[in-house]
Amino acid sequence: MATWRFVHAADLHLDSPFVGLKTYREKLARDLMAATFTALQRIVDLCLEKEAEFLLLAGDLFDGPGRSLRAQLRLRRELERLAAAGIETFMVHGNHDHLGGKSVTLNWPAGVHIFPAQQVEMAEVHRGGATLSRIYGLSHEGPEEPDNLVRRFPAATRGPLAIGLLHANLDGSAEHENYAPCALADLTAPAYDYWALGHIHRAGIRREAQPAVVYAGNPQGRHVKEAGPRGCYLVEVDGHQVLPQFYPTAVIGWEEASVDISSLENMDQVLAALEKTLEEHRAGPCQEGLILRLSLGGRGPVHRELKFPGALEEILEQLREAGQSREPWVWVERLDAATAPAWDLAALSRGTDLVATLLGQIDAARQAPEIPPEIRQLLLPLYHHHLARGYLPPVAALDEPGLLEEVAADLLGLLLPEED
Amino acid sequence: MWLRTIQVNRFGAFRDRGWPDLQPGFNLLFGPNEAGKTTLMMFLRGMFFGFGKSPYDPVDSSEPGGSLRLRDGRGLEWTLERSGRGKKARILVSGPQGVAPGEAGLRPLLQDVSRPVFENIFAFSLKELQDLETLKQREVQHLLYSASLGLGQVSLKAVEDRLHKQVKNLFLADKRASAPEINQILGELARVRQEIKELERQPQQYQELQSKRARLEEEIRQLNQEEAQAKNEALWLDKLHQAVQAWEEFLLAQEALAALPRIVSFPEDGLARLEKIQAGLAQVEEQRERWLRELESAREEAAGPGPDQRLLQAAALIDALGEERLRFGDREEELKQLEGKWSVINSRLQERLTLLGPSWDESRLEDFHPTLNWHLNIQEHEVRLEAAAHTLRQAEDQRRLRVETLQEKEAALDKVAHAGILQGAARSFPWGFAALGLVLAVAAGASYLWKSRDLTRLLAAGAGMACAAALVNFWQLRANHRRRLAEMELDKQGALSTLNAGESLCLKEAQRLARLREEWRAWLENAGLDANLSPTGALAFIQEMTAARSILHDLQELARAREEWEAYLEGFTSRLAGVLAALGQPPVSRAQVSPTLLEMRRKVAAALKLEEHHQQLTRKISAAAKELATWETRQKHLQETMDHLLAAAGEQEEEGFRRRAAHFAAQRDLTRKTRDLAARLRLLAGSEAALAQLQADLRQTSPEDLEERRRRAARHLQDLKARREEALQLQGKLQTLIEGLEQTDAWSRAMLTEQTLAARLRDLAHGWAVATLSSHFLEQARRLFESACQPQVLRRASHYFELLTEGRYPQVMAPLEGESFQVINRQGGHAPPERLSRGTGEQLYLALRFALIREYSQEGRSLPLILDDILVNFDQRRARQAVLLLQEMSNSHQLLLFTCHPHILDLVQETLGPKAPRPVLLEESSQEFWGRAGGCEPLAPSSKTDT
Repeated sequence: MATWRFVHAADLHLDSPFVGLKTYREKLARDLMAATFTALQRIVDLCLEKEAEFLLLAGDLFDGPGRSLRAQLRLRRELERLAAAGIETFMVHGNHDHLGGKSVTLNWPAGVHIFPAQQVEMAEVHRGGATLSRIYGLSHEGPEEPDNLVRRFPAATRGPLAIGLLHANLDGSAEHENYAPCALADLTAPAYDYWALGHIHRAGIRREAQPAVVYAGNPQGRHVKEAGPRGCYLVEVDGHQVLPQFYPTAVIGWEEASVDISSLENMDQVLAALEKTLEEHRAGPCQEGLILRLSLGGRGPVHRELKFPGALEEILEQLREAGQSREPWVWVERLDAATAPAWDLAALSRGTDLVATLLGQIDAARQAPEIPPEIRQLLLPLYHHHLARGYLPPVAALDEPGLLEEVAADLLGLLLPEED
Repeated sequence: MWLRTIQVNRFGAFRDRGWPDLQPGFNLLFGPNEAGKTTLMMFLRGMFFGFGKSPYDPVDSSEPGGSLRLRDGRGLEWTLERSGRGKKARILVSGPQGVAPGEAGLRPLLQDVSRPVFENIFAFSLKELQDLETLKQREVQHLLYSASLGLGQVSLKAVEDRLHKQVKNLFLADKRASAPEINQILGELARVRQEIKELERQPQQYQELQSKRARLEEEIRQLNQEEAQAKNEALWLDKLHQAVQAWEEFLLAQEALAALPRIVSFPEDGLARLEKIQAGLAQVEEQRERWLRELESAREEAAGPGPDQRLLQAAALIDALGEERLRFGDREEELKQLEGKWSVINSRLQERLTLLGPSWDESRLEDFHPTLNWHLNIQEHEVRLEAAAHTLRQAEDQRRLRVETLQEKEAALDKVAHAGILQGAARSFPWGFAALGLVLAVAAGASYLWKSRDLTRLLAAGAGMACAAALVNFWQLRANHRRRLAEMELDKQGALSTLNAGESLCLKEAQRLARLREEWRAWLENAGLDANLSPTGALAFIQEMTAARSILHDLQELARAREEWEAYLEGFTSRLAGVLAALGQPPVSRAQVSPTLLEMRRKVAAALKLEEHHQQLTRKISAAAKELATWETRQKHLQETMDHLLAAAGEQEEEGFRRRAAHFAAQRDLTRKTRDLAARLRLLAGSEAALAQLQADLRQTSPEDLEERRRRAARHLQDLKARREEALQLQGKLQTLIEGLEQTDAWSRAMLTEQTLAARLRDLAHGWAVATLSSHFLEQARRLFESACQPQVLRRASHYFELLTEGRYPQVMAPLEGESFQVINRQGGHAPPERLSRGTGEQLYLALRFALIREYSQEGRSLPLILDDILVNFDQRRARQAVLLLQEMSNSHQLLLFTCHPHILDLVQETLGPKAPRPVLLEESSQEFWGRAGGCEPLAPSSKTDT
């Protein structure tokens, strides 16, 4: 048989919000809200354009078990487009959109096959009276699947291309929750030709062949940690040989950049350096916009001016204006100043005054293996607040030395303003 | 420095008072109340720093003053004398180096300790000891709070306040707090989460709405069916309703038709045709009568008189003459003008002829033909004559001039001959020179008179030179005169010969002129002109004669024109006379020509008009006869047609025809009506089968029943429509809700809002954590610093206070930038002085003062301590400790402890034992208070106590 192709995508997280934006404008909000849907539309367009035989969706189509109506409607509309073109869709659910949720699910169009939880199911794709491929799939039943689901997959029988479709954490990736953990060795056992995996948001081919193990990644990054290319794979099939090719689908890109203030002498130079950085970062060729996180670092004389109330906000506003006027747009998500004045901390610590006492105490706290209980206690009212704790990092995360360094810098800024 | 003696001259109640010599260490001064302890302390303050107005002023209003003997640290003795107040005070400091007046001399002795410091630290009473304010002098404060935070201008308290404010502005754990930023965001988050929770129901709502919509669509489908049926029913009933009237009419028509006699045939449109024929006949008759009247009237008129045929025959001539009538009038008028003009020109000609001369008449004038040569000849003669006359006049003028010249020369010769020599030189130089000589001579005389010798000589020389010049000139003049007379004679002879030549020329020219005049006269005669005429006159005569000829010619031209006009007028008049003769009328004069012509033309016009009228009448008669014949033919034809019509209807008479026509028409109408009604019913029914059903229903249903059935059907239909409308509205609402759910981005927006709030919350929480920890670390550092880094003064004060309180309070602390001290007890508890007992408080301030005194001492500033009964509030144990401390202080300072309490004396005695100082009694009675005079210093002999 001649070569044919299918598309492998995963982790659509439809209608999920972008994380980390402190503010936005209406146009940006519209673009952000549409981004995951547009990425899906691009996947479907790819299927239609390349005349794919079918589409594989490897879990986490929705961001949570409480699936938004809009997400379901848009997914149904897109799958209807595929169905109208005779392209079938095979999908499993992952930990985010597991089947144990109480959400109401809409009726899917013909040609959409959803694999159940608990037991692996096999679906066949027929073309011209022959079986083109056998697809084995299994959905997550709950939000925290502890089992190695790969082991439930049966061995492939000889014949057409065998594909395993699963949402799983391969080799215990630390970046993601360790649900449905599995190892590469597990995936080789059933003798499939291709493992279409979801869960890890960074796209990548973990194994080239026999079987090919591929994470499609998510088609649209939703926070700054999801920078880099986002998309899906178009898999060219020739007999039992597969050749996955990555296609970017992200509508909005994420990037981070830092500017060192050490060599900058005034705020004009800071702004110029930031504008230069802004100019250097542009959205990708198929992207409508770029979200850029900027930070200022280093020690230098402008630190004092940067600490003036409203100084950073003013610069940020100018950068945003500049970014918004560009095409494609760039939204400066935030501008952090992790700068420090040109203090000689060692010299300050050697003194006999209050500052030396203070630095000694902070240093002692930094040297401690963990934040002392009385200090931790101070932070609990907020960090253990019934509503806030869901959004804040655990108090333990505050053990990071950066916090105490910031405290020291903050205090020195207040106590020694003339030395800033 | 310490005090050796005190001498009060005037102060308070003291007057010339002295006390025993004081010792360098501990001095105990005892005296009961009003013994003058406080007065003495105030005196000492005044001696060092000046007296002011105070309750201790001398009672006799004299100036305060006294003297002190002092000894400095090097053992040198000084005497300080002061009297008077303020700046007027007299100060005298005498020492080993001599006397130094004024404050400047005193300052080294006081070691630059200021008055406030001395009065607060070195010399104070019990009352001042109790007063914390006395420690608030700037200089004192500096010593107490000299611990360095190292913060420069930064206020630690301001930093702490700022951090606290920052923390509070960010977050308050209090559930009711809503203002802090984090609390606000948490409130927002709670709201957004609630919204998201509600939005999570959207899919379920959507499914429910979809189900509801499906049910509704089924309901609407059924309602549509029912409505269609009800509509059909209503439509049928409407048809019945519409058919009722037609049905009834149908029945009535059929009944009427049956009652009519049956007429099989009748001429088509018979009655109309009959009436049309009858109308035609009436119209034809009317026309026939009209044309008959016309014919008769025309014939009658044509029988009247006709026009004058002779006039008509001459009409063309008359008309032609008439056309020329105006021209005739014009010529007649012109003739008159010609005659007037001829008469005028003729008079002018006669005048000219008269001017030319009696021999001149029209015929001679006509025959005279001057030619162009005449003018040339005349002008030639004139030129020659004038030239000759001119030459003659010139010759005569020349001759006359030459005669005058000769006469002038002769007269000039005579004049010169008679005039002599000098007359010719009358205006010449010799006179000038002579006159100059005379003037200079007179001037010389004058200058001599003016006694100017030089000028006189100069003028006299000038006069001489002028006279010599005059004499030389005279001889030259005489030679010139003789030469001139000879020249003039010669000139006169020349002029005479010239005159003679001119005379002969004049004669010659006169002869030539006479000959030319003769030639001229010959020419005139030859030309037939008057021989006396000059050439100019001849030219004027010819010109006049030419003008007369022109007038003559004009006159001749006028005569010819007059004849021509006259002939025309005569011819016209003759032509008119010819016409008149043809009409049998006599000729008329030239004056009657125009009126006659006008009258004749009027008559011709009338004749022509009458002729035209007769012709019209002829044509009218012919036409009327023709019309009459036509109408009579038509009348006959119509009558025949009517006869045929009646015959076709089988009737003889018009009346019978009409009756039959009426029956036939009724029969025909009813038949048509029944047919129409049947067709209408068929149309209403829609089909043959339905028509049968319709007729059957109409037969069985009364109109009232039908109306009732229609009302019921309408109500039913309306009800169905309302239900369907309601269902459709509901369907629309559901559709809107479904579309709203399909299109809403509320979920996305709420999720984005939640994440945005979360991001802001994380930032603010981080800021709050930093601020909280900053505040905490600053507080900790402050406490540590306060405990570890107090100034030396406070450390010493702590030592003294611990000593005084027997270890109960080991530390005195000045908070960093605090308002008041803090004492720290053995347990580490902090307390402000206000919370101490009165005695302990006094011990604290005593400790602080002693620490300060020690600080001054270390700076080399050591002044006597003067303590006014400061131990009275101390308990026995602490008083003892205080005495020990006083003893220690007296090792480095002179110490004057005033007391009025004997037990203090005892206490000192007991505590210090042999080291105790001997008390100094401030007055004699003091001994009675204490009761042990033996141990006391006696009063100075000169003292006089009056306090």
